[in-house]
Amino acid sequence: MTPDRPDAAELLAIARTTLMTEIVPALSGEQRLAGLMIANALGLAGREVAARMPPDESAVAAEDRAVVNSIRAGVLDHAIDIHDRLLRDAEARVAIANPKYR
Amino acid sequence: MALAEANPPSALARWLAQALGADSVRITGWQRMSGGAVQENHALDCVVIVAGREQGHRFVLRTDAPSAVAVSRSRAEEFAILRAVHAAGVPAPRAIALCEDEAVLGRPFYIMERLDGIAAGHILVRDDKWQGDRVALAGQLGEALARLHAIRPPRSDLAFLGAPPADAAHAAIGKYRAWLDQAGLARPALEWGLRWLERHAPAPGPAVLCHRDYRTGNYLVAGDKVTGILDWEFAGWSDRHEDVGWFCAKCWRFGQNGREAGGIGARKDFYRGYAAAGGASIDPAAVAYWESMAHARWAVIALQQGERHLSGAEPSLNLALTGRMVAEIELELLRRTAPEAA
Repeated sequence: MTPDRPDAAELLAIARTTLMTEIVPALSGEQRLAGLMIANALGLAGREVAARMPPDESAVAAEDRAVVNSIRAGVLDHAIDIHDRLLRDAEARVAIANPKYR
Repeated sequence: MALAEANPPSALARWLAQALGADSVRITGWQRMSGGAVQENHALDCVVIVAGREQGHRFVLRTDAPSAVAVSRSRAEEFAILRAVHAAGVPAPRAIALCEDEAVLGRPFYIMERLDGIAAGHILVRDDKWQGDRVALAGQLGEALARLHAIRPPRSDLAFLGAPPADAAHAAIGKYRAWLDQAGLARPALEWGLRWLERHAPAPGPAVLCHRDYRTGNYLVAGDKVTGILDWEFAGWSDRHEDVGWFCAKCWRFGQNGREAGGIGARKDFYRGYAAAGGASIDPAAVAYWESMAHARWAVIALQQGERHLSGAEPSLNLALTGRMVAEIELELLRRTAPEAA
């Protein structure tokens, strides 16, 4: 898949930052405790996701770069198979980013 | 520090009195309005005293955000555009006075009238309160666009817009590719769309003044009336079909896909308003093309917003999530650009 960014770890990080700076300061008592636990969970999940990520995506990037160059050169103008592949790739990415999209 | 706290209202009040030709001005309210990452809007309530008579005024003060990026038009240019479109009969806030003297607020700003209405797209497309008036609203939005498009180059008051592009579509494609290269991004789906757009560009139409962000979310509605078109910072010379396509593109219908004119009304009512106000004939094929271009442009903008977050320049959950909208925008672009048989 063409990598979409911010990736999972990056999203968890900014979600945690936003929670800590904009939400938690306004909470008190039990809710504050719940807010801090959510922040903890987001931090933990972020580290776990980062640790699991494939260390090297350069093969995908190189392949994407080659496809881009061929598209611009006009050699794929009628390549129904490439268009199909890109469609399936985009559908898989949308299933993650916004599964309700029609 | 926020603008209102950093500046004593007295300097602004003195400048306002001079700009309005008043004896004096009393500022009774000064509040930052929501929205606007690049520009700041402030709601300003004033009592203006002329010849001993007091009159209340509701203004918007618009200025650059402190971390302004130099991509959009300057406030002075926006002021000139507002003057021009208002004179052409486009519903838009009346631009009242421009201040380029940084001694007043520390940055250039201008004052315009504050119009009634709501702009929030997700509310406008869903609220049943508007259901009966959708025909009228779509018509008014078409009329407003036709009046805007009646402004043609050359215009000495709009000289800062530069020469009209000979071919707006190819110019846009070149710009998007250059940005992708500069950002080091390899996006096969977006590039597929750009190549398709390069091969299918219609013959360019005459250049007209385009808003270039004419969509639901950027106009105010009060009751059954469009009270004003907002956010003129991207205005420039282009093909009229660019604005029509941007307005109708699926990505700007706020989920109301059945209402093809901005999620607010029917395409035919929008076009009818455009024609009624003297707009040149709309070529459906050219609009369809520019709707595809709208998805390519929006994909580039979403990528840029994601990059603003990722680069550390402006960490923001909103920008980060916008970055991840690229997938659905690319999917839509691919759906619209299937290859024809060789």
